[in-house]
Amino acid sequence: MENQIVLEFKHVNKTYQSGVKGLEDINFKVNRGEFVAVVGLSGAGKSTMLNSINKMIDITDGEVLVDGVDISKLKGKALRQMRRKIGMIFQNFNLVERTTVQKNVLAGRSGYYPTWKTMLGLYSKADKQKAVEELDKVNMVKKLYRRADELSGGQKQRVAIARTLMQDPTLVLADEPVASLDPKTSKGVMDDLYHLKKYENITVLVNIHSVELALQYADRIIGLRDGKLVYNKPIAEANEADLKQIYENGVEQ
Amino acid sequence: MNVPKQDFVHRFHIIGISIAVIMLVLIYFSSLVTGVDFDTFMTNIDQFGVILGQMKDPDWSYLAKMKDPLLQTVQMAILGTTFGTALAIPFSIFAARNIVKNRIGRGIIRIILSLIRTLPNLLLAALFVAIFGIGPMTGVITLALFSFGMVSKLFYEVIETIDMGPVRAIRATGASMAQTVRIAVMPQVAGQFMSDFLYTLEINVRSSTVLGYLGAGGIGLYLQQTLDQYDYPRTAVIIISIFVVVLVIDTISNYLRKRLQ
Ligand SMILES: Nc1ncnc2c1ncn2[C@@H]1O[C@H](COP(=O)(O)OP(=O)(O)OP(=O)(O)O)[C@@H](O)[C@H]1O
Ligand SMILES: [Mg+2]
Repeated sequence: MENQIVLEFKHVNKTYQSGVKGLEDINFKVNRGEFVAVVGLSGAGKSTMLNSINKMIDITDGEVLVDGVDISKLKGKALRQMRRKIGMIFQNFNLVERTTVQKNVLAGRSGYYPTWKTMLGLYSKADKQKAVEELDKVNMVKKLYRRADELSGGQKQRVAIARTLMQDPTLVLADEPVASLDPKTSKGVMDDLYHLKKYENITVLVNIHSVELALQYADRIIGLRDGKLVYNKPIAEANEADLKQIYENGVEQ
Repeated sequence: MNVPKQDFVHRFHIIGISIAVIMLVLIYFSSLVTGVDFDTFMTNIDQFGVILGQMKDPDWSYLAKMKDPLLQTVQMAILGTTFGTALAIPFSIFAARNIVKNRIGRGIIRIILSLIRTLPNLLLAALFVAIFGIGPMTGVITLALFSFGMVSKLFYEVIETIDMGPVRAIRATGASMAQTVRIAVMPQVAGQFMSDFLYTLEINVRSSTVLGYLGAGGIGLYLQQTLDQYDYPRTAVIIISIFVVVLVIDTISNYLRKRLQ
């Protein structure tokens, strides 16, 4: 099977207005269907890197190619259409707490709708059906009409994954998706993310602090330290000692 | 362990005391300038008793005639508040710091809003009577503009306190800004918006009772007429009926607002 590049960073730099260098000359490629774990100390630049992939933050220079298109140069409608292909999962789930699970999941589809339909809260029958199917994949159909604020953390993260699946993404970014969950729930959520890769051939990038989980799920591990890429190895070549070093050699900020 | 010592300014509440002293001095001087005179107040207070005496036998037969103007007063308040609030929703979104990053656009909208808020109700009414003529329509326009100014500020302050997490999440799905506001902002603010609407309605019911004084419709016209004719038994009926209506509206509104919490 031929390797198809879904994501590529070319000489990416990000300097925050405060002068802090978030990213320094980052270069790497990710193939379709890969599960990549991004590790590094707090402040290493993991969130900065993830957020520049869907242009939630603007990079200072370089190129971020998603399916061969440099997203960092896109604006307006072209950017929104690009973002439809990129799902995002957050540590705090970021559901709209005061609405139902169903509405939260359907919201993942809004990039495909004209604004006036969204204003009226209109979604097609096919998408309502799709919402149920996506919820089924994460075992949450039974909560369809519950309000999001009635759910536990793990359940919220599952609903967030269903919301992301509504986008029909080719790439999913997860920023510490299990950092506020207990170990057992974490494993369940990581399994759900792994299924995106396994059954839907979706490329997954996960920022993660747990070396064990990284080694357990990832096809490849990328390490950051002080905004620089210091590690990039397929799982077969990666070992725990290397990873421990990424954490130990850095200076905690 | 030693308790660290506060510095001099904090230890002796210098700032608080200074403010209190300055306030007292200011109050004293403003009473001199405006000619507030306690003696006049005391000598005229018995006049209050005289009028109250004439009001103690309200002309209840007048009550039936008050039904329509009272209803009109409440209708004016409801319509004015509704129009003003509807207009306030888009404006408050454009004035919210966390939604609109363009400082200049936001600044212009905020200046317009605060200019509107500086205009007192009665001044607006007088102005609109001159433009649109006498009648309840003028009252509705006055209340709409007044509510608009007040509610927009209340609304954008609410919007600025929301959790931005969902906003970022919806934005990241490829939704437009308008879609994001509808999906991620509105559910977070709807309850507080409703509560602010009801609160403004309470204020408007009260102010719409006096707008008629300037010809802007409602019960105020009758209040003015009976007072001009020294017909205090009828004035009493008007005041009592206004009191009851305001009380009823406030009670309903308070109940609903509690339910919204
Ligand atoms: N908005 C910002 N403005 C200025 N500096 C920022 C901003 N966001 C992040 N930084 C800085 O950029 C660096 C990288 O931050 P980033 O959030 O990407 O790290 P991280 O690896 O995700 O850390 P964590 O594991 O704590 O989430 C840090 O030094 C941080 O202080
Ligand atoms: Mg982070």
